[in-house]
Amino acid sequence: MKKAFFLSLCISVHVLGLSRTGFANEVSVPSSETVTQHYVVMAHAMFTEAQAAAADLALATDALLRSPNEANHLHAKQAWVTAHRAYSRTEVFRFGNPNVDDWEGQVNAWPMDEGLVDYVADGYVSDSGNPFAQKNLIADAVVLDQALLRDMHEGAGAEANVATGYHVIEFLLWGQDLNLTKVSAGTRSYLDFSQSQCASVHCDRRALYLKESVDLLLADLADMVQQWQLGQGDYAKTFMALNVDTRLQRMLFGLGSLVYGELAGERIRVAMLAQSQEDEQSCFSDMTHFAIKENVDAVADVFNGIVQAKGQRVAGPSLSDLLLANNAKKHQALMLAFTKAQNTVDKVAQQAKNGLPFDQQILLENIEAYSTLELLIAQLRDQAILIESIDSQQLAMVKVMR
Amino acid sequence: MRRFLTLILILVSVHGYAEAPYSGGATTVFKEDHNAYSMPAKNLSLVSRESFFVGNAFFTNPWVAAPATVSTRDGLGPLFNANACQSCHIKDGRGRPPAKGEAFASMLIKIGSTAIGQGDSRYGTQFHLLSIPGVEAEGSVSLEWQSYSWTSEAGETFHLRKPHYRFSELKYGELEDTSFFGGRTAPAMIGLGLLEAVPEDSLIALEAAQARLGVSGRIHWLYDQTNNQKVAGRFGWKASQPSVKKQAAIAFAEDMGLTSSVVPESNCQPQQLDCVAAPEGGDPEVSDQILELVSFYSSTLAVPARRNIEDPMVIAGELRFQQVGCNSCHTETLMTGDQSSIAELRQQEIHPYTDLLLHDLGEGLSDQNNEGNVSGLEWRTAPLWGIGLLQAVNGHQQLLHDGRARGVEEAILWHGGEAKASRRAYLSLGPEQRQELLQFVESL
Repeated sequence: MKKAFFLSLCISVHVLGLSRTGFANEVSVPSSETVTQHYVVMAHAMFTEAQAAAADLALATDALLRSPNEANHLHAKQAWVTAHRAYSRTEVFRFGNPNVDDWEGQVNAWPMDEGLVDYVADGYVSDSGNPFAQKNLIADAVVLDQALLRDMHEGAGAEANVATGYHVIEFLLWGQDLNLTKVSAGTRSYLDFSQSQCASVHCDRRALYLKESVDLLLADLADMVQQWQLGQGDYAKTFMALNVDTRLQRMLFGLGSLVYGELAGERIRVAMLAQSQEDEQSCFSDMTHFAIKENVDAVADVFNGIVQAKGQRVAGPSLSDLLLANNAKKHQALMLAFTKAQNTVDKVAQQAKNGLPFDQQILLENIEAYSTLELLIAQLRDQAILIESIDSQQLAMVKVMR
Repeated sequence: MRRFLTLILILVSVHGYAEAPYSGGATTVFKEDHNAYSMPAKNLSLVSRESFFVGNAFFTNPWVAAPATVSTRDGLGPLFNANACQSCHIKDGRGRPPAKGEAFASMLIKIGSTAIGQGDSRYGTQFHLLSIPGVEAEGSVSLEWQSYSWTSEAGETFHLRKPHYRFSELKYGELEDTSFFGGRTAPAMIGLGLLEAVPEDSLIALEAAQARLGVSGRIHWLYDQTNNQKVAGRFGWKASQPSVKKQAAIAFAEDMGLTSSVVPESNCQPQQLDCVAAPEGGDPEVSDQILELVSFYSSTLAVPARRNIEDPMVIAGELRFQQVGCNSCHTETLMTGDQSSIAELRQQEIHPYTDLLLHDLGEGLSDQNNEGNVSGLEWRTAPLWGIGLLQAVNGHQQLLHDGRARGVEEAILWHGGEAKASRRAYLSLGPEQRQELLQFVESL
């Protein structure tokens, strides 16, 4: 029985759905076993890509700390954007996989009470129940090391105490976005990292915090890369030991949860309802549109089994192949839903590039941008409904013919 | 054929056994870490999860003073106890009294009065420690624990503690001599929609069944003005609210100073002039849409599964729990009906360990704080599901309405009134048998 799963990667099958309509057709359909295996391969490749981008970020922040100047600061910020984009693509592995969910909080938590970490402007809003909301670890006398950062993360039980991860690094690089002009992001000066001409105070400790938090991020990513190593990684082994139906369920549930609940809901609709820039994910850098675009694209890519890593195309048997064989009509509808959402999210990214960042697109007064976001939410909803309607048991048993 | 039947029998029995840890029916999640109370119901559809996540954001993110330039999340206060739901319901969990030197964060002070039954004439029914800029907060309060030695009928002595509240810097005049104060910790948020989905008839039946057994639990009947009918109270320490949505609206209003279509009045007292004059953040401040989303979120937080159900201590403890009579009020099993607007919550067999009824728990627990027609002696049976994960989620185990009980045993010892016989039965158990019972409760 099990042998059948390990036949060749791609097996030519007769598509029942099509033959009934008279179009006898031969397409390549992999077994569900190889599809789940390729999912692990993609996860490993995408986390590796995120790790490489974070290593570039580490080089850039090292350069900034060594010679704080405008150019190095800009370069570090660009490296952060690239690193977070690569990370955002890996979010397709959330929700379905408990190892990613248990880990995600220390890597990409937001929103944060940034007063925990550094100085903030007057009028800064934080959780009234958070005793560490203005702790300012950089100005504090405590020893700043990785153990402290881990310890302070979600300190006092408050989720707003974000002490590690991408958004802490973002805050350290950009500073608070005080919306000085409509399109401005955080305006931290590179002199905040200068030991000779320190623009504020505690530049030495700020530099240390930046270094420690980047190093922690690298360690966290290295851990995740290891976990997904096919045949060796802890989670890869756990995952592949599940029955194939459960594996497919996890894959589909993760994609569907990310695309609607998390992305359309928590990332987009909340900000639109609240009409508040505090509710955008990358609020310091105004780079939220990139995270949204990468999420949307990565869901389609992983479903189709084709991702890019280290400049290489990693392609293999996919959920798409299984669905095409199982239900061509639904497959067509989902492919169309992917394309529609990708076109719309390109528009969102383009609008940001044209000078209307996400925290302005959400405002009711910007009618066109706002309705583009509404359209995107509706399209992501369609995707989720289609993904939820896919029967993983049927996919697991897609009929394979020689 | 016979083999087939045997297989079915095995499947059925395995299925029945495996269901035991499913405290919240199909909503149950297997999660034991600090996120154990924060998960969406297991059976929540992908589409419903969007409302859950959006509601979560409005539950978590802080509200600000009006007028904020760009935000619908304004209108906080003027007087308030917290600026976000999450400030008190930390990690969707249970609040606690402040430790020495800490500010009050996840517990607030209710004010009752023998004179008018409406709280203090200057401060109303709740003391507000925080305020927006330009408005004075009501004052400061500190908590002191008074040690309290209690000796059982059998001569066993326990060292318990009772809270005493000291007020200072009162900004709106003295508190009345006839006012009484009671601490109220924020309850955990799990399984609330399921409790709302239990048919009222089931509560009426429970009430009747208890009366036959000599336990006098009663429904807290409330009057629903919209539908002009009486409705059972289910939520809050005194079962004073009939629905999650009403409870959420009341918490927005009283704890955060936010008006809604359900509670359109501000929480200012008439003579608190700066409070009355402060700008509003919209009319109402919490839109119907946001109230719905927060209510949906609050209704669909999953109940975590039981743990260690095969541990012989836990199995023995369950029998003790029944022997002692805990289950005459901490009802193990209820069924939800079809009335919930959320399909995932319908027709679920749940194990909340509450009857949602009010019971007289005696003078020891009373803070003489009447709520409507509920006396200070009466309390709603607290649900016990998830209680064993409190340490993992909130890092404490301070139980009862004001967190005076340090652990399950102290909570049992505070049960007087109609629970006296159960307490006596618990105290008649040997040390190992008591441990079994406690282990069982910890497995919930």
